[in-house]
Amino acid sequence: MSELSNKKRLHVSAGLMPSMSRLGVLALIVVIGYIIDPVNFLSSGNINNNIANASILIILGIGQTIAIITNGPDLSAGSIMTICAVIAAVLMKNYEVNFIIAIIVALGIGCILGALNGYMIAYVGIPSFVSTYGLLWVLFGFAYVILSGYVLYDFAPAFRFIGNGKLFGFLQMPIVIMLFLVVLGVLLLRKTNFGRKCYSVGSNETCATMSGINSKTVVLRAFILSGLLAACAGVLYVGRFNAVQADIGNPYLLPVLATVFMGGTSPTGGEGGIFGTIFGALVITIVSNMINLLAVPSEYRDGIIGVLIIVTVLLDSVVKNGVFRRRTSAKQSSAA
Amino acid sequence: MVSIKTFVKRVPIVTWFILLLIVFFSFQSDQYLTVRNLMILLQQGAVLLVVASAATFVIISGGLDLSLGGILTASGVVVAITLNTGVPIVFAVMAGAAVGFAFGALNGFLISYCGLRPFIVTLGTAGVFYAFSLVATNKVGIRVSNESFIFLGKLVNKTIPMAAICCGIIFLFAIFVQNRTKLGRYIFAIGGNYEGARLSGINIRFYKWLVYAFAGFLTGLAAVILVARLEVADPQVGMQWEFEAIAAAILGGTSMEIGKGDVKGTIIGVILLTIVRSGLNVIRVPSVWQSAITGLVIIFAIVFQVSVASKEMKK
Repeated sequence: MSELSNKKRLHVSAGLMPSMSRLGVLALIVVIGYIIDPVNFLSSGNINNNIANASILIILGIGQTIAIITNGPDLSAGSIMTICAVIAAVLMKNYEVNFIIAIIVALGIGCILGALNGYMIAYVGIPSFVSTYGLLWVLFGFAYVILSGYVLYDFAPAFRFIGNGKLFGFLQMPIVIMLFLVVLGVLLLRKTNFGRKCYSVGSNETCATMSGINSKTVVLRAFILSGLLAACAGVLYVGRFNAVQADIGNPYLLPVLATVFMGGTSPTGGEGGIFGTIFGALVITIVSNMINLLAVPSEYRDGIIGVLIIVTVLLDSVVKNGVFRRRTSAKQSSAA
Repeated sequence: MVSIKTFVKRVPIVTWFILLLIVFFSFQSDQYLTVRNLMILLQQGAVLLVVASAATFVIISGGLDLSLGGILTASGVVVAITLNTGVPIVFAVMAGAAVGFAFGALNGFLISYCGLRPFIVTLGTAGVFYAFSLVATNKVGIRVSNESFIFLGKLVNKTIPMAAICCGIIFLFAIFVQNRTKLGRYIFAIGGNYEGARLSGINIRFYKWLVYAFAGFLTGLAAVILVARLEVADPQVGMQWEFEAIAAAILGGTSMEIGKGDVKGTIIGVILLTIVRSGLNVIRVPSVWQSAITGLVIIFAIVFQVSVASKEMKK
């Protein structure tokens, strides 16, 4: 009887510990932010801006989470975001296409590029970090070709509502879209057949194939989703910042990965979820907000985020190994 | 007797790509098949050859190093800063190699002793290395004007590029390490069968660490040549280098999954990349197009290479 309750307690703490520690970290960072700048940091304007900025990161993060759970990172997400933003912008500005059609075209191209990634990974057998890294440079190249150095800005108000408008006068549109996609993503991963297949292909592809899952199509679909969400982020970016350059996706490459790994999604696949990613995105956004408030020079930014990635992955492995060790020792003691 | 058929099969597929491209470019421009252009090719490909062999070592051991471009940049910056303090060239070269080794060793420590995934670690440290370079240079390139140092990037007798000679020597050294040292043999064991290598008594953690440190060391040496050739240490010069290095390694037949590969083969990948780069200049493709086209050719070649290789595996 006592053994049972002991086991149960251990199990509960093992399940809750990561999410509790994550909330703790978030609270700690908010407190540090408050100490750094008591006036601006907790002002409603700053909070609203932070969440809206985090929205783009979260949307990219959802796609990335699905890709990493299923197979591996999609390093091209930032560049798919760029190219889709550029194409939507060019269609609207230079060809005066209706903005709804431009958005649909951009999302479609995101899907196609994601499918290209998925094809190279699942059917040709190139590891995801090589094929998506390759596509990254190709797409940035094409973004430069299409814009040839220019900046496109000043879009139609109807389109800008997506990124800048307020629903019912107070809810920022990026937040609404982000929440909508989060709900869809969570339902997809937790409640559908496809979601479960993602986890099983990610944790052991051979095993999944043997139990009758067509792992190739699962990987293909996961990367299509990743491309589609990157395209969503691109469209939202244009609406929010009202300008497009050929390198808007560049600064997202590291933060998105940091976001996903901070959220506890395992780099080896098969483990993790979207709620963790939201946490990661909030932390990254708040930290960059603090960097801005402290007026730290921009050249430090990538370094700080790089250190943050390594430290969180390190901590994660330490926490997991610690929990694992305690469990096995409990088993051994109960056996004795 | 070797029949023609087996001979054709033995030649790496990428070679046919290269021949095709050479024929194409030489029809486009009569300047292409000249000694002068060949020397330019040698000079352009030399530094990539060294970085790509560093990448090859890491890939054979079953890892990946996305921070090679960052190490290249940071080492170059340190070389330039040391040179400008007026110390003898030897010290500057040593400083560059030492920084490369130290940064590689940091990667290796996090990957081997902390058990983290290579691509996460090296993406993260790449950010750190670039930040280091930007801060150290204050965001502007550092000019190097030491005459005898710049000679490393010049032409000997106005024909043979010094960079090619230096990099050739470093490349031979890399081949030597692969064929004649413990490190060179053990990386195959580690990449092919990690558990088996551990059980047969190899100190895998140490050698896994050493691979990254060695790759950093080679990249540090490459940075010396690169700075000498460009006469400036730019804080962002390494962007995209790690991709080309990894691509060259894969095109040379190195596989990421089964601990298979050869530093010698990497030279074929480097030749292909260099020919595409320079060929686009020869036929006057606008510079905005070059990055996109090179990337496409590389991806196409990799897809081709990997799918043929996996077909052969199945046989």
